[in-house]
Amino acid sequence: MQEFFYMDGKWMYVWSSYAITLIALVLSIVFANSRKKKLLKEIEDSLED
Amino acid sequence: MRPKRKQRLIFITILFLGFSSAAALGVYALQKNKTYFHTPAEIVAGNVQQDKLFRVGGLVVEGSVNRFSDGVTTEFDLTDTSGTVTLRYKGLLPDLFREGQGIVAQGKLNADGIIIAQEVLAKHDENYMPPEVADALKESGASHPDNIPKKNY
Amino acid sequence: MWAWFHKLSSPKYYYEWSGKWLPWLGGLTILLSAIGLYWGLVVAPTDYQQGESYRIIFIHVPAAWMSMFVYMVMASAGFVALVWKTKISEIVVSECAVIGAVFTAIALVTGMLWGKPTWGTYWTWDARLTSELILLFLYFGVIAIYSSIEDKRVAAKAASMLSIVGVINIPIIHYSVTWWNSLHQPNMEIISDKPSMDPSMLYPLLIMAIAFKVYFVWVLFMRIRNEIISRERATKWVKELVTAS
Repeated sequence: MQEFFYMDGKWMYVWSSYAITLIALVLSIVFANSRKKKLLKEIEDSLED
Repeated sequence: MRPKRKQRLIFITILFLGFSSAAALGVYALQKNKTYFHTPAEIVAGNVQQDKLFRVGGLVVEGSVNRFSDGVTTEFDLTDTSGTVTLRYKGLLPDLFREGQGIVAQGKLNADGIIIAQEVLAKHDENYMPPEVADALKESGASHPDNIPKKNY
Repeated sequence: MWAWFHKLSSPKYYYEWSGKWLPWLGGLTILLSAIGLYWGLVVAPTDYQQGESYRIIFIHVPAAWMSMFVYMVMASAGFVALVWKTKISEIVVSECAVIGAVFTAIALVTGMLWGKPTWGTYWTWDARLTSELILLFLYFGVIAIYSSIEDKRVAAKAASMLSIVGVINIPIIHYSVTWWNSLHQPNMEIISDKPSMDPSMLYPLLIMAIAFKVYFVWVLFMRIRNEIISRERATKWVKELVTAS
C-alpha cells in the first residue's frame, strides 16, 4: 500500500497531476450545478414580483 | 464613443493581440528549434562558433559517461552516428539519462571543443511496455526503432 | 433524421431531451473513470523506461485528445451558427470554449508535471508544447470575444469566426512532433498491428479516454441547459418550468 502511494519516488508529480485534474473536473460540475440553482431562483423571484 | 463602436474596438484589439502573440510565440519557438539546433556532425565539422548558445541532440555513447569526483559534474559523449562530441554538465541529470538514451542539451562550445551544457533534457519515445516485455523484445533481437536517431537527434 | 435535428435546435425541446440524459452521463462518467483509474494506477504494470511516472499518461493523453476534440466540436458548431444561425449552436460555441480551455489547461499542467521527472524540465519551447499553449490562447480569445460583446447573437457570430480561423492550429498540434524536432515523443500508434503501447496499459488509457468524452458531453449538456434558461427567461415555457418545480 505504501509502495503504491510512494510511486517509486514520483508521488509528488503523479498525485499532484491527478489531484489537479480531479479538482478541475469536479469544480466544473459543481459550478454548472450552482449556476442552475441560482438561475432558477432568480427567475422564481422575478415571477413573484 | 458610442457603445457599439467601443465594443467593436475592444473586439478588434483582442483579436489582434491574440493573433500577434500567437504568431510571435510560434516564430520564437521555431527560431529556437531551427537556428540553434546542431547535430554532433555539424559541430565536429566546425560549423558552430565558440561562446554561442546552441542546442545539440544525439544519443549518449555507451561507456562514455564519466562522473567527476565533485559529485555534480558529468562528462559524456554524444553521437548522431556520423559525429561524436563531448559534453560536460554540472547539475542533476534527468532520470531517463542513461547510456544509449536520446538527449537534447543546450550549451556553449569551449576552447577545447567540449560543450559546456547548461541544460540536459532526456527524450523518450512513444512506446510503453512492462519491463518483461521490453526484455523479451531485446532478446528476440528486435531493435528499438525509435532509438535510432533522426537527423537532429 | 433532419426533422429530428430541426426539432433539437429548438431550445425548449433540447432542454427536455437533454434532461433525460444527464443522470446516465454522470453515472457513466463515474463508472468508467473508476474502472480506468483502478486499472491504470493499480493493475497496469510499470513502464520499462520511465517506471511509475508514466502513469500520468492516463489523464494527460485523454485531456490532450479532448483539448483538440472539443475545439473541433466548437468550430463545427461555429460553422453551423454562421450558416443556419440556430441559437443552440451559438450556445455550444461559447460553452465548448470554457470546457475546452479546462481540458487544455489540464493537458498542459499534467504534461509539465510529467516532463519534470522524465525530460528534466517543466517547460521547453518545443513545437508540440508551444502549439498546445496557442490552443489555450485561442480558447481564451473565443471566451473573451463572446463575453466582451453585449449582444449575444453578435458575440456568438464573432466568436464562431475566430473558432473557425483557429482550426488551422489543430493539424499543427497533431503533426508538430513529426514536422519539427521536438522533445515531445511522437504520436502513439494505436490502430496498428504493432501498437506503441502494451495492451495492459492501452486498455485503461482507452477507458479513460472514453470517460473523458462522456464527461465532456455531461458538462456540455449542463452548461447548455443553464444558458438556455438564462437566455429564454422571459418565455412562457421557462416560467412554467420554474413554477412547476
